[in-house]
Amino acid sequence: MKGTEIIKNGLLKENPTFVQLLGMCPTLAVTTSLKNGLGMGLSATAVLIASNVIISLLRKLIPDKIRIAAYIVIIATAVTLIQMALNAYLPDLAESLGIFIPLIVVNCIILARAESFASKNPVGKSALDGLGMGLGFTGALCIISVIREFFGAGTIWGIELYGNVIKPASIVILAPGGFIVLGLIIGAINAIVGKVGEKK
Amino acid sequence: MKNAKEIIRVGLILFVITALSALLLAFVNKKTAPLIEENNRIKTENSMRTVLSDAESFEKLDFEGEGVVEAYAAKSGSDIVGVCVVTEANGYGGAIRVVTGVSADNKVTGIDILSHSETPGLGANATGDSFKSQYAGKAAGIGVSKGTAKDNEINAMSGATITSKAVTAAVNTALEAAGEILKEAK
Amino acid sequence: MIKEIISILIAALLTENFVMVKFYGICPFLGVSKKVETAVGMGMAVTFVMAIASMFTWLVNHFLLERFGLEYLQTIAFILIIAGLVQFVEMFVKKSLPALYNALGIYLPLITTNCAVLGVTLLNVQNGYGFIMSFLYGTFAALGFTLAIVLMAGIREFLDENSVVRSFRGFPIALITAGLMAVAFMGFSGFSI
Repeated sequence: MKGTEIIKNGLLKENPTFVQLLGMCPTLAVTTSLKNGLGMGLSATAVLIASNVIISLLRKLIPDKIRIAAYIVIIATAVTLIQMALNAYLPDLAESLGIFIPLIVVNCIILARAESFASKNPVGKSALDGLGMGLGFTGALCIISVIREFFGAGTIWGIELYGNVIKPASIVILAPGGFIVLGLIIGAINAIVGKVGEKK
Repeated sequence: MKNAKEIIRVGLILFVITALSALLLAFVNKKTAPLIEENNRIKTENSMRTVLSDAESFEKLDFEGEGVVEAYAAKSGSDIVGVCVVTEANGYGGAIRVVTGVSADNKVTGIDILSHSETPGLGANATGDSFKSQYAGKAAGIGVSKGTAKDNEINAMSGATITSKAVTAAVNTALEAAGEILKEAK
Repeated sequence: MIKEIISILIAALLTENFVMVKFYGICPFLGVSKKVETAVGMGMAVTFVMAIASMFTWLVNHFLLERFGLEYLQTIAFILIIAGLVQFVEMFVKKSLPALYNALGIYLPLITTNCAVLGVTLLNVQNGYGFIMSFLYGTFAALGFTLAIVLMAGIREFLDENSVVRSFRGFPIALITAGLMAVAFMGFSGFSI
């Protein structure tokens, strides 16, 4: 696989959110505003690249039996580093993402990429895979958050659009809106791509 | 015996990875911890200046109480012109940290939200001036109203009653703490 | 004390349900909710892990991390404890409940990456809960998770018998169902004693 292909794979063909349906918790929880969605996406991307690179470097040293435990330690370290950096340099973002920053540790996308890609591929490719998957995740979060912020708060990136004229439907920003918007998007993608959902 | 050796080897590798991770984190923590503390200090100080603009300097007090994070005496020269209390209360998304400015006659001069994780577009609107300014001039025991606010009441934000109540609880805690502090100062 | 416990119970089950309101543990919620039986099994396994993990992490946090100023190692320490516990549960279920083991399949080891578990341990610290409160909150939150996943499984068993627009079959309709359930859970908001 070539570099561009690896990135394209993460962005579209195997998009972690819309196609693989991984990492649903942050996808639903932080997509209440574009700022949060983008911040979460980029933080996860940074963790994904770092963990993929380190795991790829160590892939021959880590014994098979303890690989999951080792991956978890490496991922948790990367997440804690990002958390410290965010707290120090972007305290406002750190605050609004709150507990969902440490919870990046248990974002299935990261462990899944470690297990299925980084543990079998050289460093360069693993870094690209991390970047592709991370951007795919970020893109998905941005799409969902733009929709939810627009309909639910009447703003985009915090800029008031129509709130003075029509009252925004705040349910879109609340929990039910998260589920329904994501369901509609995935259904729409299935319809466009022509992929038939699970048989009954 | 081979099995035992294998277990020790595997265990050692895992231990080394964990130890290296811990070392790295300790190192980075040392670098970022002071920055984080400085950020918080500057933020608190800026907020205190907006809620109690009469004061020239703030002096940290030794005060402990439930829900109270920090308390500062606001001074102009050597006179105490009021008290700033940082309090916390649980909102919809987690703890909300509020700084309340209290005048010498135990009334709110202003409030500011230091940190929160409320829902954007709903509870997060508590950071807006139209909500915060309602508290100015209120005395202890502030109530929350969903219709028209009566005496010593504030209007809840629509769709964010929990947040409105939490902020009010934090302000009331601050007023009580300030009352005690001011009583002692006299 | 009792009043406080009941209000935490109500919050964890209904008003702040871990799945329907706070979005923790969505992966197993959608993945293992096709049959009521497996949903109950999953709920029980998660409840066990969350209750024990809440106690263990409190002990480690209180007696090791806080004492030595190592709070920044919280995430690593907690996730390792959880991973160990899950391993233990997996061995236990495999040996004594093979049917459940087969039904839960890949989702059993995945309890480690169920963010409800790590989430509850971090929330315990954030809320400043003591040992008993941590244990109770962990248990109640897990019961909230179980409630949501079992209800969802009940609905999905019927959903399978209906004809759904092709592109919405499976995951998308499950998400929309969850959304409507979340509306119902919202009805409890503000309810407290």
